Amino acid sequence: MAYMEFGPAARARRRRGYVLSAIIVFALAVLPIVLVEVQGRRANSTLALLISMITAAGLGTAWNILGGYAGQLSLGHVAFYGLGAYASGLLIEKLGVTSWLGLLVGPLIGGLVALGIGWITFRLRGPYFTLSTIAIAEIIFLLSKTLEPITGGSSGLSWDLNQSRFWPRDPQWLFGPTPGRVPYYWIALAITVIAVIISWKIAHNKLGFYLRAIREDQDTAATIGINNTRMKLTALVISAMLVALIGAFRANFEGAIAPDTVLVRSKSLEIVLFAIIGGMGTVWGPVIGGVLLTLVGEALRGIGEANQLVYGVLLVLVIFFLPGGLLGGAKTLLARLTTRRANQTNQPAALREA
Amino acid sequence: MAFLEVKGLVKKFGGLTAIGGVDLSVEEHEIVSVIGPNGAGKTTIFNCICGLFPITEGTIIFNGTVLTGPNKRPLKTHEIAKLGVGRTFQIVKPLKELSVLENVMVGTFANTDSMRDARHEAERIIKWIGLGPWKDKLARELTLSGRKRLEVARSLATKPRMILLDEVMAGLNPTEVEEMMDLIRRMRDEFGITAVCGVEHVMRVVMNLSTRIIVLNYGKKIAEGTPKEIIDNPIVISAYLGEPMN
Repeated sequence: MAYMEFGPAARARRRRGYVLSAIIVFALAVLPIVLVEVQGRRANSTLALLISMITAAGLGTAWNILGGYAGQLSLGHVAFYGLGAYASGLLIEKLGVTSWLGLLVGPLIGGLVALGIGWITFRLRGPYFTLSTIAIAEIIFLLSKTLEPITGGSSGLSWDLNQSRFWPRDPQWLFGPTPGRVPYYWIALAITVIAVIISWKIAHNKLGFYLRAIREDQDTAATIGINNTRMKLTALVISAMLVALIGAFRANFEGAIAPDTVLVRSKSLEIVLFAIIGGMGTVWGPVIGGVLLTLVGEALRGIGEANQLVYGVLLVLVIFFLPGGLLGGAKTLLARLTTRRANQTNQPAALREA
Repeated sequence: MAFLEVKGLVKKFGGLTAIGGVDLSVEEHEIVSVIGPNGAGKTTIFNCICGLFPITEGTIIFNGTVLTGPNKRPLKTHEIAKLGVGRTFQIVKPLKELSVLENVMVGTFANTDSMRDARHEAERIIKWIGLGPWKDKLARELTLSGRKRLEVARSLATKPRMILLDEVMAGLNPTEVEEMMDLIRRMRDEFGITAVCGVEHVMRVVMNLSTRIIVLNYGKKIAEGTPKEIIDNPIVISAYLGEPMN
């Protein structure tokens, strides 16, 4: 199965894909209106879960641009998430400016830091790169704890949620006086849709080809004239900016940030799992992984930290039995079913009767 | 000055001297074979030329540009590739999870940013090189011969001026060797590509294909000349061929 298929049939299939995606996005966009109509105030907790699922899909997608396409396994992506969250949180808490600015500044800072980190770490290959990403995330985690006058140390920052609303008031004409999460939901959806579009664009362009070439073999890539360092930096910066954007959004949504929530090591692992379990290197795998794992996480909330154990088991199972992730497994299954059906119809009549 | 000029090349890996001062030059449109027994330093020289290994001493000049030399920042592999030096690897390195078409497209993207142009050019090259029927197969599904061909196609796709072919015949059957030789000749005749072939023991190639032969042994050049001169050279025979060939 190649990454891209060409020709009229593939074009038609792709066109159907665009239409289907547009319908899904539209359905997701009107979903909260229906929810508020049906559930009333209780819709807020459903929306919170949906927002988590959507941002998880976005995080997996962002990570996948570097980890999946370019094969550079970062285990420190929480650093960018935290940077986005802190940049945005500080703007609100210290300066009291509009939340929208945070969504702009967060990714900028995430991107700049990523540029610096990539500059240093992309001299390293394979496991050494991965180790350095862990180290950097750890440094930023510790910095956020020690720079207490700015970051609020271990307890972090918090503010009145009304300060970090994207709308001064929720659109009353729609929801009446219910102060709700609907606008946040829309923003989360918009961010993730943007992330998926960027990921899709990369996969179907020169950059995507170059990143996959780098993943397969860096020496070969270089002898074809690919500037490996520049391409990896590009992927890292795009990936980091998207993760920071989601971090910034999350800070606004929660109204509070702390090292243990937005810079915690396990968050990095979670992001990686979304992509690996869903299907690394594909456009839709991380989306599926993010959505499903968040649901699993929600179901396991009762057992607390033990959910990490379940994640671990899931990861092992996927690596053993579905190396292409859930998406890859589904595709293989589908291919097997179609060939089996084809075989059955192709069999001579005598054989079929026997 | 020659098209490719290697002067006083020394490459040490720690205490081991892999290349101990080699001079070699290749003129444009030549097909030169670099031969030598296993471990003679053929691949090491190729890796030095295309910048995968930093060299210890010496100068390498390609088409008037110093790739690496004293008091100069050595060019990076991708910069050397952009100057027109292509290469294939002894242990074939097709981008396994990419289709044949996509493998070659990675190469054609060197000269275009357009998806459509890259694909059309890649399709043209795939057809030219005879991989047409396998266009949509994954690279890992190809036979060894197919993979070697794919490596050449991918390198050709970048429009190189010179191509370093490392053991491109090794492991092929006689028919496939014939086809590969034909391919190298056609690359020169149709696209003007200079070829440097690293060959260990496919003697037919050395004798029938090369305009000139350079013989290496233990990281040193021990002989150089036309196929006829080499086959009769007693130093080469004793160091490498073992006994005279008739």
